[in-house]
Amino acid sequence: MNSVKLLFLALKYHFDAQKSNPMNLIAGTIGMIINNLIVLWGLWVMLFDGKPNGGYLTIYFLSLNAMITIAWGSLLFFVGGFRSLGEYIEEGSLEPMLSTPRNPLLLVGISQSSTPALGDIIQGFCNIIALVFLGHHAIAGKTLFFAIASGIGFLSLFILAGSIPFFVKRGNALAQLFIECNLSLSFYPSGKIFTDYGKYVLLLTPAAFTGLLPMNAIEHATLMNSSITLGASCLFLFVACRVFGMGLKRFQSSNSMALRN
Amino acid sequence: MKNSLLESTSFHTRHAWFNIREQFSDIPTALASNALIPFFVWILSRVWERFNSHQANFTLNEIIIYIAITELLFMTFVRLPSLNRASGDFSLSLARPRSWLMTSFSGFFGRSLGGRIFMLIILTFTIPLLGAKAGDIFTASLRLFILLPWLGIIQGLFSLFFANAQVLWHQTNYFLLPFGKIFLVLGGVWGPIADFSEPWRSFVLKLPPSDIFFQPAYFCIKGHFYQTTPTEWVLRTGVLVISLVVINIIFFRVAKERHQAFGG
Repeated sequence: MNSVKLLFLALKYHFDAQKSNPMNLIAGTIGMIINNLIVLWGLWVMLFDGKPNGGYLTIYFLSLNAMITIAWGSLLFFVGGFRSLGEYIEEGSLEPMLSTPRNPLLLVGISQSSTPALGDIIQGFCNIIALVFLGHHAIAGKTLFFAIASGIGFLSLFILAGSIPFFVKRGNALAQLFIECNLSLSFYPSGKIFTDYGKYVLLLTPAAFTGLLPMNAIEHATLMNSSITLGASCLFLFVACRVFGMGLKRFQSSNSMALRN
Repeated sequence: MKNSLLESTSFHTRHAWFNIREQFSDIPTALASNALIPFFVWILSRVWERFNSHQANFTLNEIIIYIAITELLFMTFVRLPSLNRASGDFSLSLARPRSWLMTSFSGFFGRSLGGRIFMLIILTFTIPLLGAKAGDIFTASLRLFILLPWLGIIQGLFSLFFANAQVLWHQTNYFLLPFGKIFLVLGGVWGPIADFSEPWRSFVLKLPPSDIFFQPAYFCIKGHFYQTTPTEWVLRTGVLVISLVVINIIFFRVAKERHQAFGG
């Protein structure tokens, strides 16, 4: 209960901070919306407009884009600190978070809020409205629902990748590469690019939890598919938290002294 | 007057040369920051193969080289650390006998050229692993090498424009991402504009981004420009360069008038 209260307090704090500089908030949000719209239009022109089966693929991509932007944007806006977990470990900022009775992961999450991420969330909801406007109500609803699964996938990815510096020296650069690769694999319509073996290989990457499985569930929404998607995302989160826990036991204080011969 | 011009030219040439060499000073970090490019080349060539290969404008071998070149040009286009370095130097430069515009420009030019040469070396070794033919990569690299100085001037002027804007309005930073995306999409970085559907293809070909990303990459793989002649391309990019020079001078003058340095 205390953790929920703390989460709301942190949100209020971030909101107040962003409200105090409205020009930054407006510029960041508008900048991100323009950015997302250009990407959406560019990929549509390049891949789907006037191409065989382009109509269906446009709806598929609109839904994928909505799911990813809502999941990614919400995480960065509300608990943006997870994205910087690797940096915190490497630079020693995690240390003060370990000296309180709170869960360190919660403290990491609420430590930051990304202003431009609000643009991602708005963009995602605009896509949902576009899907409803085009008559695809069911897909719009399922997209919103499975954005939760994708969000859990991204959260797990941040924790898993962010834990790399526990095990590898200067591992934050590797963590960022890992996150970027998986974001690209989730953002492009990978489910429609790779077939057969390629798809199986993709299922072994975190992009399966953030993009492939939720999109599969949106396309073929059976109880089985939905359960597998949500179950797999929760399992991934569990594994990521366990890896973080294991890494935490190896954590060395950034100012620890060492004797040398 | 003549001596002063010669001295100034010599200084800015050495400054550009220093910035070219700087790109090779920390190879492990440079390798780590460019590690994703082969991955992007791989995924974008697969995207093209799935959605656009039926148009038969290119082969997979050509597309791999095309995307490698456009990624190389884009990843070294307008970069925030470079802009921050230039705009951060603005106040100090007002007390120096050197022109901030020229010093920043020679820095941008050197960093862009050095970064591009470095990436070209990496890609020459990595993209054969993705399926591109070594002979074609070598030919394309030589063609790109001819265009790099001219493209470096255009890139330097665009960066200078943003550095000027950053001095004038701090919020400009937020628009750097969409600005980059405009060039990414309209420049055909993800895939050749020749594969775009009409009427978008004709429209996009008329815009400056296609002249600085798509046309050079197309020239590198095919040996000629797409639906235009070399003279026309040089003229189009020349007009762009002149426009950017004029805009930069105007912005610099306004920035100098409005600038307020804060004391410590």
